Amino acid sequence: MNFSWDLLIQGFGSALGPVNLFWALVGCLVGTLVGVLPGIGPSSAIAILLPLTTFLPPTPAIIMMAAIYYGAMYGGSTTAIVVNIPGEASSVPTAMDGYEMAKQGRAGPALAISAISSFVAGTLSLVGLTFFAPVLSNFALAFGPPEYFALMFMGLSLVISLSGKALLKGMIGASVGLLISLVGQNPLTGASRLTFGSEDLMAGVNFISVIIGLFALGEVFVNVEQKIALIVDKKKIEWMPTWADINQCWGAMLRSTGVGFFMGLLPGCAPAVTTFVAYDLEKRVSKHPERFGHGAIEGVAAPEGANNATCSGGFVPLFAFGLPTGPALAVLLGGFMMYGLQPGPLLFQQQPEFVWAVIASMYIGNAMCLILNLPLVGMWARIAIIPFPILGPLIVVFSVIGAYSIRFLMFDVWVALVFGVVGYLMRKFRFPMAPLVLASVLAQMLETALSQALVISRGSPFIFFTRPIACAFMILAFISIIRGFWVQIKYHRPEALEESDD
Amino acid sequence: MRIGCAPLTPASQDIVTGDSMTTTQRIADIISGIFLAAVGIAVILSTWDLQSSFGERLPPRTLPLVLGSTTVISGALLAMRSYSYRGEDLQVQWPDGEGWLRLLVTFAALTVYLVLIEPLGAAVASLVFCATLIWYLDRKVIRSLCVGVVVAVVIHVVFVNILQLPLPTGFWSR
Repeated sequence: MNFSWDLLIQGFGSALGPVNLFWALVGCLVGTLVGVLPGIGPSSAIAILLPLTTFLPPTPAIIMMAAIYYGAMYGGSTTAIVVNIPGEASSVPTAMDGYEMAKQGRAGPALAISAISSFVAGTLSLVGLTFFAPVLSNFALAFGPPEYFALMFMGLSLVISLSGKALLKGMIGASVGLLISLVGQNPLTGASRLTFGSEDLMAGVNFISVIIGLFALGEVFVNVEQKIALIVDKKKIEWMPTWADINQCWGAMLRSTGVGFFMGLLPGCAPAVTTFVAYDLEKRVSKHPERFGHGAIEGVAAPEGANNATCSGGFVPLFAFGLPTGPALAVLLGGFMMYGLQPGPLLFQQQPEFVWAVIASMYIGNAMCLILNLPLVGMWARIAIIPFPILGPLIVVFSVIGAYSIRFLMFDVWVALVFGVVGYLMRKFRFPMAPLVLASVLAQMLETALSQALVISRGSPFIFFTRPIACAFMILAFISIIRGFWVQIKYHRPEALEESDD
Repeated sequence: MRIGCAPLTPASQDIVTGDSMTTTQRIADIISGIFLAAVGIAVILSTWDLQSSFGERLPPRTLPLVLGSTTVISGALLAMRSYSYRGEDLQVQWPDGEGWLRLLVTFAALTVYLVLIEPLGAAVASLVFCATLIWYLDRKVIRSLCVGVVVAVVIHVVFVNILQLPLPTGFWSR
């Protein structure tokens, strides 16, 4: 698969044809909608639409399904910002600052910057996909289970150290988060753990319920006790970002593109980790890290950019090896198969016009999503000014539908309710949420990678230190934790007793 | 993690105002530290009877055991650090009496809603829930009913009919 300008231009020619353009637009629209609605994510949307696309030739069909995938990334941040319901793990960091901005009457700028950042990062990653796909695809092959484990371990350590003054609470949060996800049957051996004799718990606790409970329901409980009329606490409402806002975010957008794109190349640890790492990086490089968690606009730009960059980056291993990096791409791979297209090096030789038309359409689709989403900003931002007595119950209903739709089990909704109470108490007692959330998202992948790594090494944990990439991640992980403790001891600050910034 | 608002016997030097419900962050941290350490101990105990077949590189009980231990250690550290802390303290912001009532009613409405979803169906249960809770928070009957009806219609048309999500439709649709 070598790059040639001729093929790319030919691809643009094909993607700009009326039929392909129309289906790309349909995909972007459906994707945005699917991203906004609770209970239906990109993977299920593509899966539902897959049989309906059989009347289309392969190129427009795949163009449309890819557009649904990245369109959903644009829409996914909306509920996180406006009503504090992160529909998937990757929008949790967005909610942390986005919802704060919404409360300050800045939902508009937050939504707009998330669309702009998504566009910038998505497009830059496409450039990476276009020019460097062959080189980059080898990068993914250098990652085995030990590297994945070390990478996820580093991600967790970074997030724990992000809890700043409340480091111990961050540690507890991460341990409890991991434990929550271990409840139920072990996917590897089938042994049931931590069920304390309950049959319901055998099904395990899904992290989406945990997220919905902690963020959306917990926030409703906190708001309802104060008899507030509006979640927006300022009279002045801004609808669009100023140029100063946008200029403030360029650095965040570029850095998050780098983080998101490279981590997107790796199968298995997709957007959830990258958005947290991008957020963490932004907080570290910022001159005013204390603004994060209190409505920093870079805190919205970074995870949203990383999310879309990861999404575009994921197409590299998909095209190069037929290797999906996440569930949505796996369904998309199913779409390829349905048309008898086997992604891999041969696809570029046998069907170059198809591959390049899809890649070219992604540039166009990203621009379409931006154009579609910016005018919608005003409409979504208005949700924040619905009186809370109405908005609160609506948030509850959407949370319930979202939690139910994970596996169509009432059990998941009850779990969300329990974590709503936990989230309420965590807010009251100033526990940071991010470590708990990320840990519960990563737990299963972490255990699988750890177990596979130990099989490779025949039980020796030194495998994480003898392989260079894994070793680098592990060292970074330990440095971030030790540095956190060092800072605390040095300043004699009573961590637990100060304001935690989650 | 229900720690709640146990009646407090504040340690001597704490600045406690005259309100009925006060908890200092220090006390809250001691309680949550002890509670979480207890959770960790429960986890460790529950791993005792987990069987592992011979030769597994990562027996199923290893991770719960390790994480249970980190929970116990960090919970205990949190409680001890807070116990020995003498300095400026923050207050946990509890609601006032009316706030507690609103919180309890919301929680109760949500619980009843979840119980009713399967028998009444998602659309009707949401109508009842929205109408009741909006009326309670807002005291405007017509507005609360209108919102409830709109929500029910959206759930039925968008989620059940168009998106074909298998949401519960209630006993009358069987």
